[in-house]
Amino acid sequence: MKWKVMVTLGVLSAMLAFVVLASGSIPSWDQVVKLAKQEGEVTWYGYGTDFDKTYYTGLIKGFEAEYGIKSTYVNGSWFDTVQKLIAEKKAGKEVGNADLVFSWSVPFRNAWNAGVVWKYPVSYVVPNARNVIDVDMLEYTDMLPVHGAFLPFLWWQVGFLYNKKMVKNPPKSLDDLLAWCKAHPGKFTYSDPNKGGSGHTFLMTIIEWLYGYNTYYNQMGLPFNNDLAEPLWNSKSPKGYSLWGYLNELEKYMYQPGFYPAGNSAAISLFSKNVVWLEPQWMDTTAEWVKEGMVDPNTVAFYIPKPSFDAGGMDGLFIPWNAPHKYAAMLLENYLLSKEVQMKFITAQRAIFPVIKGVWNSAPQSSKSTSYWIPFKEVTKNLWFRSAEYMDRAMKDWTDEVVRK
Amino acid sequence: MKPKVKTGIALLYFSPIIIFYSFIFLIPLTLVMLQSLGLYNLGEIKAVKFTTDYYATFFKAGSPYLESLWFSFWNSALAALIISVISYLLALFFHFISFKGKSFVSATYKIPLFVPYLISAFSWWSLLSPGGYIQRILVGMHVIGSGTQLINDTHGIGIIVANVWINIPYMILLLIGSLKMIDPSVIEASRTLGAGFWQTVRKVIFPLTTPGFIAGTLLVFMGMFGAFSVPFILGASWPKYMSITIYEDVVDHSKWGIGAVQAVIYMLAALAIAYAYTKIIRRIQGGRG
Repeated sequence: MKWKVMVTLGVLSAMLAFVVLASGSIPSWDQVVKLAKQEGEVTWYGYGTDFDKTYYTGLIKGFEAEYGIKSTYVNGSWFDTVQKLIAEKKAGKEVGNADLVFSWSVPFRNAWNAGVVWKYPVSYVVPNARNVIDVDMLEYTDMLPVHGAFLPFLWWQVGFLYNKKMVKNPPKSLDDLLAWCKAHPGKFTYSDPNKGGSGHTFLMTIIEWLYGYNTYYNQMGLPFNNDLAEPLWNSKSPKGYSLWGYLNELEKYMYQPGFYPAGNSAAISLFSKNVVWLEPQWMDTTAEWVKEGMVDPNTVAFYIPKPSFDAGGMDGLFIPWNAPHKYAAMLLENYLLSKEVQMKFITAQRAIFPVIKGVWNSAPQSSKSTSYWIPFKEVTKNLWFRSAEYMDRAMKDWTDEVVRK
Repeated sequence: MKPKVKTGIALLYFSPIIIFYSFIFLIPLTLVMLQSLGLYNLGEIKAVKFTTDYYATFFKAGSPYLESLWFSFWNSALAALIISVISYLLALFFHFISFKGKSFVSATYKIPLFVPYLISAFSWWSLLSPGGYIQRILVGMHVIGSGTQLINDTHGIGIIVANVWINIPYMILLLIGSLKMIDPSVIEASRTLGAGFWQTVRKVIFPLTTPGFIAGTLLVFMGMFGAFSVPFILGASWPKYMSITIYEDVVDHSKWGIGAVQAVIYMLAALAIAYAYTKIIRRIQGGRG
């Protein structure tokens, strides 16, 4: 399998690079901790809702209390943060004010290409990184190489959300989705892929299901080959449809054909009003709506349709090239990947998955019971990886091939 | 007779404002123009190279960008027309009619002035979405069918509704300003000569308020034409405002070049409209002179 071979080679080369570097200037972890305390300060740039801001600020205060390092969380947007770093690079500003950046695959790629990421195999220095659930995650994020400079921090997951009061037999397999929609016209929707992550994750999943996950990436090649992508997406798949043919056929039986909810919240809003019964949705968005009392928890059921669904995003952390407190940033990364912090994703009932091994198993039963609707076992096995580059192209083409037609 | 001032001294007096505008407008706009031709790279680090490819992409027959430009134009123009008509009637009402509780009513219509655009957009999103109060009332009154989409719809109905709500107070305030500038004796003369109220409006008041009316209409049009929050929340997957395609091209797809071309087109459209406005006003004022 070409993709797996590439990952393995990537991991091996990074480990080799690490060993070479380690024999030189990389300090021991004890030294990192000591140097971090000497730096005495760290600033973490993140993004998210007001709830996220409060949550991350709480996490960083815990770090401050444990290590005595003055810690600040700045809530912005991933786009703004990367643009700020690029502007600093252009201005030759060697010392910035962001020590750690919370981001996802595409902005990380942009930051890496612009040369604003600290080129250092951080993931092989930070001890808790060794406990991530899949070693591939230290080398790739959404199939983009991260060169050991990007550490996964949390795992959001999309699945099929359905109304269990109204739907007794949801389509267990993607093979059955179209037939289910035909039998229940107007009861399925998915978010505009350009406005909601649940939409573009669904789009990538459909691509991989139609053309075959392994075949798809072996044929197309990585990182990205548009000369192959567009002809393939217009060609008939083994399932009998081209990508655009399938989505256009599906649209006929969806809620308000031609209408796509403008984002994840717009999609779950239709679910909460019982207008639609089935949709791809983020589990954390659903948890938020349940917590806020905007969705009847008795209607909520989730599953991962067969044969699989795309994982992620596994959003993560990188240290900018001009971070003034790089050791403190590494120490903060280690803290954020600790079991205690990762456990908080479960106990806060946010339906965000830990990226550290063994955390779910040691979670208190009370938390697991409250989050009974999260299909954890399904999520933790055999998910597909999505490719950020192909996803980016598919999102753009979707507008032309589906909604403009 | 106006006092004569030497050009050099005039420039000296104006230099602070010239410097200010250079930094705030001229330099950024020039950079965007250069980026649209590949001669500058904002937001990415790569070699500069002159190209007209981005313009070719924009103006290609059947291009989505042309569709976006057209949609932004007609949707904003329709909203501007609705705003102008409603506002004119309301301005006449508030200016000429006295009634008990007028100060309360005139305070309430100004509420949208104090509501941020994004909040207004979300408010209308929840009111017009399926199951929202207004959507349910309209369905109950058989004004629309239960399947009619009022938000994120392909005609931009939700965008128009929110834009009308947001912009009516601005337009009314501008028009009331124009109405206050009319010499009351002119209106009295018209009435004395036997003209009815609507005849006076048609023959006297409207011609005298035309510059304010056109200025207000163009101002609200330009505000809506380039707006982001309202079409982002209430717009459809397609067609979409050009402000949204700029955002998606730059933020989601890192296509700064085509984003810059769209920004340049926006600027040129604004300049063309401003030019048309001055020509119209000059013609009106010239006609009177």
